[in-house]
Amino acid sequence: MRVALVLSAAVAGSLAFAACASVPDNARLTVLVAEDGAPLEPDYAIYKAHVNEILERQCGTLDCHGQAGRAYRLYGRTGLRIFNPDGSLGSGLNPTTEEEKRYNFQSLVTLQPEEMRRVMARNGTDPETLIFLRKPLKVERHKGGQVIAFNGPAYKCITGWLRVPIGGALDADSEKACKSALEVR
Amino acid sequence: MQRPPRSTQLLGAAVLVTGLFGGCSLDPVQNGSIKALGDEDPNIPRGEHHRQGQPCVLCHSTTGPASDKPFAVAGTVFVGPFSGRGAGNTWVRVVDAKGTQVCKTTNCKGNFFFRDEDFTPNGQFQEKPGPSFPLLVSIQRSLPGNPVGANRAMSSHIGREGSCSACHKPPPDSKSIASFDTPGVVRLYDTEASGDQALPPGNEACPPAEPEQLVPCPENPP
Repeated sequence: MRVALVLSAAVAGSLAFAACASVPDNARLTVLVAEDGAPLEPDYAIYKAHVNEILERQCGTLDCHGQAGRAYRLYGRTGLRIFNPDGSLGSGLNPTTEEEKRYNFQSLVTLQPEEMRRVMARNGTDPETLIFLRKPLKVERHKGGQVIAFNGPAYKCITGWLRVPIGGALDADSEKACKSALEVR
Repeated sequence: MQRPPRSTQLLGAAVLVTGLFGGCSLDPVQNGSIKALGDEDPNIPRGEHHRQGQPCVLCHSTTGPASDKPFAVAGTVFVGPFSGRGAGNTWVRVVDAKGTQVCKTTNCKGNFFFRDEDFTPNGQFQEKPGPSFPLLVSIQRSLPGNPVGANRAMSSHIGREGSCSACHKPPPDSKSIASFDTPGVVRLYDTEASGDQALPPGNEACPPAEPEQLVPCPENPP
């Protein structure tokens, strides 16, 4: 009897709260901009040229983030390919396509969009607030263990990218780090 | 007769449930995947030659039905992509993140396995037994008159998965190795023709009547 009463109260409470919720507003959004009003967006051109291949290799194997069921999903030559029933793209066969790189970029920048912009607004300082760095650095639990090292080439490349506003250029040290990250097997 | 107190009833129920389910995995994904593998081939006894090309570590893990024989890394090497002919006497080399290098030889079905202790031979585990992921893997099969023979190395690393065939599944089309989510089975050659030319199919029984004489890896002491 008592259980039934508690259950009824819980159902009634849930209904009352649901009725009070505001109607979602599609026009409402949060925009973070730099002090001069410039948009704070991670640069796709730098991502495509330098960061994507590192993440593909370090994170995108078929047993990790190269799986369709992963929230942060990566496509690439040596892992999962965009679904193509005609078999024109094969795992381990064709180079990563522009479309796959774009999807990888979108998958990454939508993990914590606001936090990523905050990091960019801080000129890339304290990037470890981003889960996509916290996990591979093993600052927090990561089933794949530690995949990149603090201040290692991959870390320097990625954090260098986060310092660059849209349309900017990667600094020479970061560019060098990006290259050496790909030399390590 | 007086009813036992409520705490005793709960304890009894807990013991009963533990007794019923303690011996098997409660992971529905693992159980479903094992069930999907189907029954054993009646012509192959349960052992090192069985279940060629299947994900070994699914069962050979601490939570699987073969938990008394857990594997760290295991799989099957085939001669070509489609025929299902195992590549025996192939050396499988694994290097883990700490630089430990190990090598095993496949049996006549192409099957091989590594245990945790293979990666920590002195039994002195720094953190936990077994390989430190990620791993790099390569295969090599010497050929008559050609000691180097056929060589292949994975272009990416293994992040965490112990079963080769968890990723290296047979492609859905039996004429093309191109698939969006698998690079195909682990194989020495990309075509059946080149595999048959280098390693012509024989008539040897597998599993053999006598214990197999495998060719040890050159780096392993006899």
